[in-house]
Amino acid sequence: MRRIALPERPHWRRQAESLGFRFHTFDGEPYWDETAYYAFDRRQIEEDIEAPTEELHQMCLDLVARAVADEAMLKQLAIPEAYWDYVRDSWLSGQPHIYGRMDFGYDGTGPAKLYELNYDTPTSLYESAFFQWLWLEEQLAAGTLPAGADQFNSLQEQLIAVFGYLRERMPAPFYFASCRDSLEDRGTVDYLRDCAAQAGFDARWIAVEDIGASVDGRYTDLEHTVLPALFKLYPWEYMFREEFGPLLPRADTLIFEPPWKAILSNKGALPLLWELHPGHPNLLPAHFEAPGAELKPGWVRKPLFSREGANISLRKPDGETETVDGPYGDIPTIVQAFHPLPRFGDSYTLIGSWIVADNAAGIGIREDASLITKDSSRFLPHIFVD
Amino acid sequence: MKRSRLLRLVLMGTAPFALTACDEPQPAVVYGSVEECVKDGTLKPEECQTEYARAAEAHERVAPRYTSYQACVADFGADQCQAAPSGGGWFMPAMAGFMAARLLDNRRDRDERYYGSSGFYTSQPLYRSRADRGHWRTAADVPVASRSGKVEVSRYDAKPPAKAVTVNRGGFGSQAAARGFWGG
Repeated sequence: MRRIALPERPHWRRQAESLGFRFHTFDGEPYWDETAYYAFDRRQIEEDIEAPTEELHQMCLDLVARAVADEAMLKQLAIPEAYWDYVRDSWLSGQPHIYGRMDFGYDGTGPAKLYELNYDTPTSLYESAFFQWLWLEEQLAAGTLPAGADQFNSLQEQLIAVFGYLRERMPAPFYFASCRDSLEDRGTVDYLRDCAAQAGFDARWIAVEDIGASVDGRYTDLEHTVLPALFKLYPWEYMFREEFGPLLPRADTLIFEPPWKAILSNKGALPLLWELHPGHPNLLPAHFEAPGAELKPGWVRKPLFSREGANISLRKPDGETETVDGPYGDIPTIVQAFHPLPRFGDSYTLIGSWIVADNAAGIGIREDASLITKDSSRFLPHIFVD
Repeated sequence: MKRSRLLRLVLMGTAPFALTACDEPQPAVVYGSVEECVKDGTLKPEECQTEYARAAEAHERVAPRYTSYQACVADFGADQCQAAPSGGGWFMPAMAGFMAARLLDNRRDRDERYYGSSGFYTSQPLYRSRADRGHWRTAADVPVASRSGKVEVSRYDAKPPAKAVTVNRGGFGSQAAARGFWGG
């Protein structure tokens, strides 16, 4: 695994604009960054990332099966009791999911370590699945990469295959919701809509804030059409606690990611995985934390619900602390053993490994200037060679 | 090769929309008018009348609705739009045809499926959009036929979409506003 500098394609910004990649630059700072790429060898991709991703995913599904049958676990995960049956039924009835992402610390040697699961509202999908692929094809054509270079990225093919499977089994139209003011979220759901449309769905966007509720407690769009199926890039833990939440169990809308993802998008899944598989080479030690406990050197504190690194505190073995502020200060926390991100040059590098249906489907790499990867991180493409 | 073979974008990019066929098709018939239905002979004349009436009744409930005449014309063309009979300042396209479908649980003889004596289960209005004059489309904008007569459609397109009167909006999104959520 190496970081290799390479000139940008001169036209990439124009190309990004014309292909719907409107968040390639964020507050004037680059988000898509092709001034360098990461190169792996095949063994690193297949043995150190792909195989553990699929194994961990199966461990996650096993955890869901246990948690829905164990009220103590649901309580530990802070899932409100009113939704236990809803979450349980979605699992027992076999509601399918679409995708998820695991974030790994990996430097090319030794086992990749799982930092967390993004199994409910994963973003960075478009740039992983599509724009990264386009970069590879154009750089291969330009002869700037090693001949025969490949990329671990069958995301779009697999997404379209999943939507094709769903198209035959579920109602339409299929609505895709994101928060009105988030360009990045909109990019992610528009990309999912695009994949769904390629599989034959009538795929429509609606703002989360515009979802309506009818007299008989069903969710509607702006034209009063009942939403038969909804993908929401909006966390279950929020929906459970909002005004329309109580309608969920009887609303008659098939929702993606399914309610059982509330168990996995939760940082509480990390200590539960560690309890079930202590010493697993791809897991970091993790425990639930008592409120007010002191953060010991060598541990990282994470709220059960947190996105983009918010409210994460880490205390290095030498006692030095690093903290990201955020809006999740009122949420129960877990601690996870400190395992620093590998450093390449001036950057700390995080590998996002994708699951589509139940298959490992590719990776996306983000760099940040600090040990905690935030929404200000940059996305870099990758290749692998034999 | 561990990467996708071929990618395209149909909504975010510039390539045309393509629809794939779907399994579990349901038998249905599509006509532009009662006369066309009677002439075809798949349904009895009185069935043509009944199914047309059912579709026309559903039309008022399920037709695409627009807040302005211009928006409707943009999608359906100038001679195709009218004020909604229910009022409310809505505009909607004219019904351009109807589709009657039987929802079957088992697969019996193909002719039996079309000519069964129990009558059709559900009927819905069809529309022709300005961008695609060649197809009849459902109220959910799914193209179902390019010519009249027998067709096969997916189970989910065989029924008109459900409508319900919305009494409340904005019940989701408050946590994001409070916490500044933008994905993960």
